[in-house]
Amino acid sequence: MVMDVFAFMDSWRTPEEQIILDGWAEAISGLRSRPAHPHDRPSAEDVARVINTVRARGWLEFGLGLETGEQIVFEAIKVLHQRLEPVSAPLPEIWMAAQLMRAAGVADVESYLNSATPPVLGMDDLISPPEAGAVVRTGWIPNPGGLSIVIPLRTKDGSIEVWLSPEQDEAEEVSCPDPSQRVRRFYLNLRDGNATAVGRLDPKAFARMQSKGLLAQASAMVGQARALLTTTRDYLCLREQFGVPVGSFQALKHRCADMATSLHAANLVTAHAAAAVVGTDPADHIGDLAKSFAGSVAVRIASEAVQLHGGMGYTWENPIHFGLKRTMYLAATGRSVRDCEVRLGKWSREGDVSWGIL
Amino acid sequence: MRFELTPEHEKFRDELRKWLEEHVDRDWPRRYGHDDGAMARYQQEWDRKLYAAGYAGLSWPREYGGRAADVVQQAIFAAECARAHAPEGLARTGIRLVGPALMRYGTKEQQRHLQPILRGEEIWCQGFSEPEAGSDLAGLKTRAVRRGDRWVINGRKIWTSHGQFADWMILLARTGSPESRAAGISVFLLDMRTPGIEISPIRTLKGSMHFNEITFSDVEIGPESLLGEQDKGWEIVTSVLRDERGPGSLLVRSSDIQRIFGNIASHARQVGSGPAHDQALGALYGRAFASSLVTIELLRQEHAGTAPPGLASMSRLFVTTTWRTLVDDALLHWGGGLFDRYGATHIDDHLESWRYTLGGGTSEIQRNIVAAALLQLPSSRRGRG
Repeated sequence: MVMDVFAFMDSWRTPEEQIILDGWAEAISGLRSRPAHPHDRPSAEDVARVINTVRARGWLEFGLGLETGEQIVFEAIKVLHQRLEPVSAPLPEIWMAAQLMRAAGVADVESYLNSATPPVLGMDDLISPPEAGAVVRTGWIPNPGGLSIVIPLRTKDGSIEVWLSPEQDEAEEVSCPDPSQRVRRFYLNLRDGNATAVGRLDPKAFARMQSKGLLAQASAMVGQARALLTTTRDYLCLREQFGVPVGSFQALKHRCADMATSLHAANLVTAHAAAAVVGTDPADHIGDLAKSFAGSVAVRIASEAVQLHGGMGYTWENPIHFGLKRTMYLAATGRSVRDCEVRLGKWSREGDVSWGIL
Repeated sequence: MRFELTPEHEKFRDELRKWLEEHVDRDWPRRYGHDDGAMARYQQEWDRKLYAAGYAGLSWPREYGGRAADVVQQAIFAAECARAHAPEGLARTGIRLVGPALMRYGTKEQQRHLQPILRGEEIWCQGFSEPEAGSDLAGLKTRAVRRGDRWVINGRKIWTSHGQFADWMILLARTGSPESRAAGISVFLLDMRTPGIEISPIRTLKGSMHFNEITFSDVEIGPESLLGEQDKGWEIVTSVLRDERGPGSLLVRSSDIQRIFGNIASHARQVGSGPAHDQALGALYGRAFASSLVTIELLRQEHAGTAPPGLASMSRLFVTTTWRTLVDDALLHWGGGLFDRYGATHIDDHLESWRYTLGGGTSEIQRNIVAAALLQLPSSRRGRG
């Protein structure tokens, strides 16, 4: 019964890209986190174990796209999320931290990735960089300990300073819906000598980095939605009521068809955005386009996936809720889906809308 | 996306674009919109211009006078015509449905229709749907009964586009038992001047007479009118229906969607917007943009031969429902302003949206196909073919 009915979504990849992504899927296949209890959160050791495994298999630097180009990194983030039981280490946030450092002119970013305390970047801080100051209160950062924090700061002249701070004691737990990560807000003391300014970006380069962050989230949401919908489709084939599989009822079929259709469209939007965001002079709205469209689709699919599992969807035992909660986390961090829509609408009202097709 | 035009495709596009700029009279919808007869004559004139310029029957093989255009050239043709706001012509049913069926299943005698179809001299209509057989086409009841070596036809057809102007009809009729469903249907080529045919135009919600209901009372035709084998018509139908759901027609819809979005955005620019309006506009832009990508992806996969069964239906579902979302949401968010600014065009764009979520297989039928062919969900039909 298990079959990948969404394989057609990958057919635009080149054979070379598919080989790389198959290797990536293989490298992370055994890395699963399944909190046994609702109050469990991954520890610093859990996260370090995952990072060390990924590093040992040669994939940690992959997120910089040095050999493969950056475009495929966003596909890899999809692949990373094509599962219900998530990987507990915040790999997209680590990769985006490394990309931000490199964009800010930091040399040898690989050495930071390979250090004992790799960098992590909170998506909230990327989208709304705090003002420079003595103590900076960060947004949500998935860091249970052991990761150093990359933080962009808005300066008076409009440029962005990038700081690197060791994890600091002063932090508050946040109500993160996703139990596969431990997310906190930190109070970073930038004057204590441990934190250092490592680089600087002009507003244009920073805008591109923000687009990449939003696209990373959109790609994660597409991967997650694909996992949720695949599982739901399989469940509808197996679960019988009134003597037939419930998937034979048209009311459920049509909802599945609508979800699959919107997922296909969201996959194309993120693929298009990935090509645009790594290209020369990407438009500022690319990240908003990706997250607004894929985000709406993914939240809807996650919500429907639980509903279509009936009572089983309401249990801890069935892993569908892990995918739901990861989707909630992705929607809750960075820029909200509606805010992306507002910015996109403002752009399309003010700018010269191009479609760039045929 | 991984889809780029070759230099040959670009050359084809540029030549066509130039030709359309020179030949499309931008004023035609206003000039002929009030008179269905005058509009039909104008549309037929357009067909002849296309033929003279070598653009008729692009996809037909060269031996039949076509240009053996690949799926990309066909798509470019559709997109450029929509961009130039060119008429659709009356030859379309003949060229897109009848021609390919005749080439594949017709006798030499029947293939004599091909040249008049290509030249726009012979207008064809499609006699498929019936009042009681719409989405469930295989349940059609119009009967063709043998009398000696002749066929006698009785029944009713509906939604026949341009039936009132057509010279010929490609007709589906039951030749098997009433319960035979898809296994008892044959295809006939019917001269519309044959006695016993009554044509009643249907006024659509837009106010125009696009469709017809056609009644057959003891319509007698000869043995030469049967296309292909008796009772084997379903195969012919499915091969021609596939064409109706291809990427070309979706490119035209995507192009319309871009034009409608452009009007909405331009209106929003004029009246100024708050966050609620910008949010709506952003969501619509995302959806309109995705429609274009979905269309191009279908084109790419069909060209590459990788399109899975059901992808055409999925693409059609997304693109045609986008049009409806666009006009519904525009009404909710901008109210009368759009009608003030674009008047009849905007009303027409709004009402036109259902033509594509209903015609050529309703959105509900497309969802069934996606669920069955692509998602492979279990069948809900029992004991039916």
